Amino acid sequence: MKKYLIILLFFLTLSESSGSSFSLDKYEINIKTNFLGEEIVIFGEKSPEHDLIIILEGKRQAIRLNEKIKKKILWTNKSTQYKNIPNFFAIFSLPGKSLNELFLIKEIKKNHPLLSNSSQELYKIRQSLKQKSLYFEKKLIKGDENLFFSRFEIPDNINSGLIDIYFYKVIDNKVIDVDKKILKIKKKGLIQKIELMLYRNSLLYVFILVLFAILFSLMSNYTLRKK
Amino acid sequence: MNIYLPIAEISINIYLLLTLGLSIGFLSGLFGIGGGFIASPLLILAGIPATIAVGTTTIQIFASSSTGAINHLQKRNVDFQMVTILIIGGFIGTLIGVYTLKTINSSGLVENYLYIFYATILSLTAIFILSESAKENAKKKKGKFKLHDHSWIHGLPLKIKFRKSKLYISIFAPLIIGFFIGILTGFTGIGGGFILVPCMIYILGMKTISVIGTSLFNITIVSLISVFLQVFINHNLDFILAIILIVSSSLGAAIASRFIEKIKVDVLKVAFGFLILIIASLLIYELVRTPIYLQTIDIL
Repeated sequence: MKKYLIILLFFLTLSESSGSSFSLDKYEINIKTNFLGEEIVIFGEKSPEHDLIIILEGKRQAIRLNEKIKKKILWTNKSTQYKNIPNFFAIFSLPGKSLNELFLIKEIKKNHPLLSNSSQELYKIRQSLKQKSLYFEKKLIKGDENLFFSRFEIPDNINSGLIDIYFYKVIDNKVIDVDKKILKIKKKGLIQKIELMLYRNSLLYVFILVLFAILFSLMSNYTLRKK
Repeated sequence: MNIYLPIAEISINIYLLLTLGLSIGFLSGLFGIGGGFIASPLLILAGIPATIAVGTTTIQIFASSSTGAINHLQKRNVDFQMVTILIIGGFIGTLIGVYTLKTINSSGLVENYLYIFYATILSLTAIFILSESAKENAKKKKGKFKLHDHSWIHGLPLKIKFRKSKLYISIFAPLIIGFFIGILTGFTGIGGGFILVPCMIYILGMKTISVIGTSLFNITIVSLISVFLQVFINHNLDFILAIILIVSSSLGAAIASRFIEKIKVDVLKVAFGFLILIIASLLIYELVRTPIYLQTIDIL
């Protein structure tokens, strides 16, 4: 309900202004013990003179692409490492554009390594990210007048960090303006404390687990076992 | 209801994990084993990343073996001479096992190796248990029973007296056995009790009364060493998954203790052999079936 009120307020503000702009219903996602992924609404106003392309790009990291290869009767992995690949990638466009159409826009190819060419390797990487719900292409839904919106899901296997959101205004395959916003993904509460303890205070991490293991197994042994 | 695992970085159904933990604990209680060789493959099959499954299982082995070790320590059923040598071998083996896991994980082939390793070792163990049960039954019928044969291991140098076990054997024998069990623990998350106990009885010729206590004490210490090494070297022990496994497997083991007297030992052994064979078959099936996805990605 809250998110739709925010969107309504945004649209009311937009009606006073002109041109194109966009927003998200939230700019921070907290990963807690009950985190199952989170839905985000992207919305805004589009001027009829140009096309819109919105790209969400996560932190660029090294990745390992594992390809299953059949050797006699066994399926084994063939692994290749790649650098500078975003851990999350989403493309929204209005009107809907295919990847082949996006490849024609030089600035987008230059800014986003995952769209830098139509090679087989990048295709495989995009497909593998897609299987993990970490990559998708969507068409923005056109609302009344010049308004647009779309919903998407940040999956539960997302890495914490920043997601850059690029808002491109495009005319005849040329970018005429770019706006950038940031979506923060943070581990919070117990999840954050556990991760920090593992990396910064490993001894305490082991100590707590070992102590719990001894105490709980002794307790269950003395109280529940048949003597 | 799903729960987010902070180190595995996935959310997974908590009831699935509790059921797995209860089943692992129940089976380990029923068959008198640590349960690591059931826990690691089952966690991987449930969708936990292989390295996290291996790392987290080590604390579950520690939890399930420590209580038994304390009990046997109180009853003075532990051969400290033997266990010291086993632990020295185990420490070196665990270190090598943990580093092997780290190396293979960075090459992206960890699931291949683990599946092949688990499937091979489980199949061999199942065949060994089932054939030994069949042999014992045949010997019982004939009225003959010989504890162990003298093999090449009794010809090794540097022999010492193990007073508790009344043995005069080379220190290399327990050192080598401890070393291989250590590699198993470090690399696969398996405690190795199901291999260590037959080795101690059939190869070293130890008396059954001190075998269980010594084996449990060794597994407790080696799994504790492995917990430290996994956390410090591989960072692959998930806190929340560990807590769920410790709680549910302890409860499962306690429930099993109420059933164990009602089942005949011979039946238990055969059931255990078949259970291992089923898990091995599932792993072999995973290796030969056409994968759903031909490409997967690991973010490093």
